[in-house]
Amino acid sequence: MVNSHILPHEFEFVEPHTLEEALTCMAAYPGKAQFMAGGTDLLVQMKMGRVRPEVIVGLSKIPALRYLILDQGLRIGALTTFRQIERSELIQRRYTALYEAAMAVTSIQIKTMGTLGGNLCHGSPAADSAPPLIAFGAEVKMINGDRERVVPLETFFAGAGQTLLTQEELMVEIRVPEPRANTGSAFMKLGRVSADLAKVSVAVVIEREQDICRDCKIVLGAVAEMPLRTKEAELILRGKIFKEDLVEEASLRVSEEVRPIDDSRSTSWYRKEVSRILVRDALNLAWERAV
Amino acid sequence: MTRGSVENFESPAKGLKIIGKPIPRHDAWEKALGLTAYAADFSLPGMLHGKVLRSQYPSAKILSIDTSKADRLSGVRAVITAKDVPRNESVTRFGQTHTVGGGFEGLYRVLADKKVHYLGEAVALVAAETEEIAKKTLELIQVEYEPLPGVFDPIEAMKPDAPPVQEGRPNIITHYEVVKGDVEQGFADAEVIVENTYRVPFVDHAYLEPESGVGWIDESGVITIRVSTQVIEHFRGVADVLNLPHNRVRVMGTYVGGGFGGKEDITVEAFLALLTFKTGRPVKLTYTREESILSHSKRHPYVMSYKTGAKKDGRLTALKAQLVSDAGAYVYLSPWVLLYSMVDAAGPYRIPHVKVDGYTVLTNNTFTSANRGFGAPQVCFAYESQMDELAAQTGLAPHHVRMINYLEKGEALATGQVLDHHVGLKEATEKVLDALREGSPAAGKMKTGKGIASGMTSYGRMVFLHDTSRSHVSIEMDGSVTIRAGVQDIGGGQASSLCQITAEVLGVPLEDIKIYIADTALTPLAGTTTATRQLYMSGNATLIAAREVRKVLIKKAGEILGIDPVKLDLADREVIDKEGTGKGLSLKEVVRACASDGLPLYHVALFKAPFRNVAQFERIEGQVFPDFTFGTHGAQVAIDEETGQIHVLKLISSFDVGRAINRLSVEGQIEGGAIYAMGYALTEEVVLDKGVTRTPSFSEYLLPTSMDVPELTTLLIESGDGVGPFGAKGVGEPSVCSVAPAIANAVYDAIGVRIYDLPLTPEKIVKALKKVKDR
Repeated sequence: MVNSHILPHEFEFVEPHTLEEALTCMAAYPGKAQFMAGGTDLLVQMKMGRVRPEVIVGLSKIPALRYLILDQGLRIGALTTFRQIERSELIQRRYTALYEAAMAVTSIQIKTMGTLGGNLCHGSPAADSAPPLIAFGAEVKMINGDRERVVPLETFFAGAGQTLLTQEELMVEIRVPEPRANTGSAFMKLGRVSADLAKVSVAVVIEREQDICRDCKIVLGAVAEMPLRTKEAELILRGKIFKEDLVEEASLRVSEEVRPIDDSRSTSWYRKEVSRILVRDALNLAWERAV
Repeated sequence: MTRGSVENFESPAKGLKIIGKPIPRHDAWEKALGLTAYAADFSLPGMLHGKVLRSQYPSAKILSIDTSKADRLSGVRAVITAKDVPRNESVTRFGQTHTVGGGFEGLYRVLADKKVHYLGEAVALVAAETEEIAKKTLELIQVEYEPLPGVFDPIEAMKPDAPPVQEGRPNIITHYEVVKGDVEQGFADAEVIVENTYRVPFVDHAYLEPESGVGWIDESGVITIRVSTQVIEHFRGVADVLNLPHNRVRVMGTYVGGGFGGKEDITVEAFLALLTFKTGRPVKLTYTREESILSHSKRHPYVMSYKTGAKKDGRLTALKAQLVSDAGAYVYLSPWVLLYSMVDAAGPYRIPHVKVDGYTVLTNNTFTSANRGFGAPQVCFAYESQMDELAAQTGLAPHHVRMINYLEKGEALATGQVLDHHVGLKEATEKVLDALREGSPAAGKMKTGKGIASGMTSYGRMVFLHDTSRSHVSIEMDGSVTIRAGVQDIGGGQASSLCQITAEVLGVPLEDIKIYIADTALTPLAGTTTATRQLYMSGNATLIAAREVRKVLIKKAGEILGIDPVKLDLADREVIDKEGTGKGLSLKEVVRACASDGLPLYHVALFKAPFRNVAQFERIEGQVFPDFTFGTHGAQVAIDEETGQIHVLKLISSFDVGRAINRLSVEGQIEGGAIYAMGYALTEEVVLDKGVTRTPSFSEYLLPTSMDVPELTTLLIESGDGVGPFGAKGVGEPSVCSVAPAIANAVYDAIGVRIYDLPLTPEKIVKALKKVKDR
């Protein structure tokens, strides 16, 4: 399918200024409308003719959904951009893997338009923000009319391009718990050029108690139909003395747990091969940071 | 970060006021401010929007085309298929002045008729009131295809039983050979022989500005096309398509948002002319990015088998090569590109025995044609990889093996062409080695390596094409100066250089010059902006024209002042006495005196390149090009052996540019060339799977961006011994030639593994390292 360079079909465009208005707009067009955050994914899909929403509810005029609030952890408004995240010293210090993921989001133009909520709701297995947020144990809050629900991000993804989000539902907030003391994190990504989607990405969060790995989470992107937490590998390290051979064993287990594919960006073989390397390096880096 | 330096041979800039200076181009501000009206920025009242329906199959019979539904759609103004094109097929000489034979002429077919030969071939044209309606119209045209077997590999296509790509002709377009000495004797003399097969991929030009133009009919009935092109002289081909006299079609070239050879062949011109002619309305047509990648020309992929022999001390004894290039589904410039490769195939080296065979072959892939470097970078990747393989085999340093074999002025290429101008390779390589010495330390687990590669690239067209250029320089009554030259400015500073040359000769500041370019009706024809020829050809034409105007002015001033004209000079808008008597006149006064005497205050110059006819093409002998530009690239890379990730830390380019007319432009060209070719080395590949493009957008086709650019160093040498104005050589295409092998050689230096196929992806590196480990 060829990008037509134009938005080839007619649609209605509404731009609410408040969250309430946005929900009202959506309710007024049952089954026909779609929310748009930064538009960096949706507009491309529309130009390719893959989606044809009759109504677009643009969210960019709702300032109330752009925020970073420290409140027993971190609350991030769904419309917060990657640019805002990479410029937050607090995130850099306390949620390093998330900061590194925001840094790795292709170009400055995309970072300025693209939002955290949009990135997650698009449901791509390569979404840069998903691995670190899952590793930090984030939850997402979604609302639909006056109903709201909060689900762990880990369970939010439902397949390639699919999430739990229903069409009328809007993700409004991402909640990231306060990391425990002595926690370190790291994010690594391989692309073909700097401005690229991930071939493989990895986020690791480790809680350390002297030589012991009290807890760890390992989450990979672009190696399965959705972001993948490799729990068996985590088990190898949890509660153990953090040692090279265990790190190797865990990394090897990751490369057995992942289910990558061949596509235009890389091959299944290579993705398996480097998953192990990235996990090992990310584990070591996160461990060093956990002091 | 960029750095640069210049080495002057014999203080060439002596006495020059504007030539050689780093002067911002006359059009720099308007471009930086976004004011330049590129092709798609232009609109006319009542303008329609054109679109092209393209083949969905790489090889298929067209059983029927039904446009009745499309014709009935409201807002549609024209639907055109092959049967509506006055002359749909013609044998084109691609801008040559005369028929030369040797496979150089090829079929130009405007719209597919009866058969489609590659995916994306144009089948129908539409014009409608809006772009949206035009797109909708395409969906309503019903084309019934019967898929046919195709051939997608040039080696397969050479076989006698391969399906013919074009009716009534063999798939092999042409075979050339270069023979020097007795190559088998050369291998018998060798003490070390290396033999390898190299492959390079399809590459897109990836200009920021896709193909675009606006056509209309002017008040006198002339079909006028304002288009982003490297060749305004396609006006003749457009007129032929419409069966109109050549003087009834006018092409105006815009400033071009990147050409790189992709706008050398005709793009939207004939489509616009047909739609405009049919509707009587202005029409705009701009390709989408995917359309540009799917349907327009690519750089030729080559399969190159190389065997190189040398003595243990590194002296070369023999080189044997076979080149096979994939021409895609139409001939276009494939024979020309192959010919360039043939001349360059042995590299800039002294080799007693050489045998090169080259074939260019039709397949059902996207057609291939000119791409910056035009056949030179492909073979350079092979012959420069071979030089490092020889160095590894003999235990000699890679630069040493090159230094002792470089050709020098007065020596001949394998074709017999004598290099009668400076060959600056030794200086270039020394400079690169110096710059590489200041290496960056390896970071973490990364391994670093350094590599060099040298190259040669011609500038100016092949001498048997009888190339010419014209330029018109005139001086106005107030002393301001006008240039009219049919050059296309594709971002290389083509127009600005002519302004500088004229300002230098007529002693006026740059701001006193106004240049009109690229209009077949109003500017003297200057030929194509291709083949790194504009500075050479139109620079010389403009230099002649400006000097003729200067002669008139100085002679008249001599008469008025009573001073021998040889003692007079033009500077700062004045005629001055070089001996410093203080006598002088303002330029304006002299111009007025000339005007009142009826003297010509203008000159149209014709510059002719050396002409030489070729008796036959099968074996390439003697002079093919006016001259060559020589240079060396150096690269430092860091590689993660576990992931195969390559980081280019440094790219160093050193070229003998003859004379830098504008240092900023020259350095800009060379830096741009380095990055252009870094993409070729590392990430860029148009992937075709049985004729189907798998990389149709910049999400799949990966270009380096500013974030990927390493430290760039440009080191100029000015021998003053080029055939361009003031001794300049061309740099536009030479600047890409040896980048990929320099990077490949640096990779080898870092990890001891050679990759024979571009691009050098991490996947290939990891696989190759694994193979070594398993052994």
